[in-house]
Amino acid sequence: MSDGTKILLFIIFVVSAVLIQEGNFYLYISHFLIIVISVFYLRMKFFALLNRIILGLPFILIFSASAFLSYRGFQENLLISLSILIKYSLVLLWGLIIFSDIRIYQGLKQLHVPSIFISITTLMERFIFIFKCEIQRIIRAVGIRSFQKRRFFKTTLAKSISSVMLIRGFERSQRVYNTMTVRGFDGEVRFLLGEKFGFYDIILLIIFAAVILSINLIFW
Amino acid sequence: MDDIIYIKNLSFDYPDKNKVLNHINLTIKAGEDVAFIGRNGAGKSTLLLNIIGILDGVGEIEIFGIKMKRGNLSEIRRRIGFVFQNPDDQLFMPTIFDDVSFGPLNFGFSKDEIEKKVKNVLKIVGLEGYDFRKPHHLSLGEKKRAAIATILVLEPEVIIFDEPTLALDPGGRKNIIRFIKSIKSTKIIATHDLEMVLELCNRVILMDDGKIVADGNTKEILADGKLMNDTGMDVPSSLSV
Repeated sequence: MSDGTKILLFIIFVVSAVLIQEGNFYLYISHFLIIVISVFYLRMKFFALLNRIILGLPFILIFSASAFLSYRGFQENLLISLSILIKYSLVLLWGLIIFSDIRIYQGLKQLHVPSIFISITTLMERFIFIFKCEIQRIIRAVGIRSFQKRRFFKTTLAKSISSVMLIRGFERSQRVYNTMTVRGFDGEVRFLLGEKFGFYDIILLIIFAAVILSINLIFW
Repeated sequence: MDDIIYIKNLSFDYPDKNKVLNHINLTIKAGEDVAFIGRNGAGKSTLLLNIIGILDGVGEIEIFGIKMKRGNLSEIRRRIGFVFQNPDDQLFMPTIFDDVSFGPLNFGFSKDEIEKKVKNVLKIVGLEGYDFRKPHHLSLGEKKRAAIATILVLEPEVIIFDEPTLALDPGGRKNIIRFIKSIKSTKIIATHDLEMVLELCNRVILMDDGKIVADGNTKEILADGKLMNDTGMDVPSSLSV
């Protein structure tokens, strides 16, 4: 299966899961069954996947609890809150299945996503970790030289750290650009594409879309 | 031997610092392993960046007989590799495979050729099986080797190293030196690691204040205590005993 196909499978599922009406538990269950079948077919460890969605659970709980801020009534709010939680779990589980074995940028390239977008996301993914290291380094350097804990001081410190990060970011981007140009970079990030988007990919996409559509038509 | 790098009257200024390079004249022949040494700010890295065409100084530079100008940069960079000081700058793609294949893809190598070359070069640098590892999961020594792989895969005739042993532990340093020694291409190294220079290079160019103050046999220059002291350097311990 090509990486582009995997991205399309993900999008079809997400659109379908997000559009499920609140409280339509038949549709929730049928989407969940698709996930279970895929997990068994791909011989993945289901509980390992569940463990991973638990990591993001606190954030989504806060988000779903926000449904209670409206005046719609307790029962309706509860339904909306539950549906956020279920949809989140469905989308994340499907994402974990699809993205467990994917070269996402190659997939985006296959889908003809603009090159500039791919270049930016590639570099962003890589430099999140470098940015994290830089911040830790600065905080450590500041920490060993400062003992004051007043809020005003901390705010001033945060300001100076962010300005230093901006300058460091600029310098680093220049250096990275240099390393790219010496290796022939001409404005386009190229990838060695994996499997091509072929006949079987089209068949698979049609079948998957048909299954999702039928489920929605039956249980809507 | 053929001249591969020919520099005549090269000068370079940064906006905030005058004369970082001051009328440099230099020739490097094929097969020479040359070290650029000198105190911080002597102009070593600036000179190397001029050789690869990243900085654009005033003067004349010819690489493999090709005049350095914008239109020729691609050809020059195809034949000269540059391993930067910090591997984090050089490894910017999602996986090691993507990083190593970045250069060959830009220079138009075929898919089969790239796959074969990447596998081969990762084996050479001792990173076999690291194809789909993420660069930020590697140790500094592994990152340095991966950075070298990104250049080696292009099979350049000359490889420039900027501080290849910087911040490495003794074991990692030894590995990198052994590895650089095994590379067949002409090597140009800018470094403060004089023991490494003794081990790898047959010619040393000592720079100070943007000028070349000495150019010659490695042992002769590194053993010259007065010259080394005057330029802010030290005679390596293996020669001072």
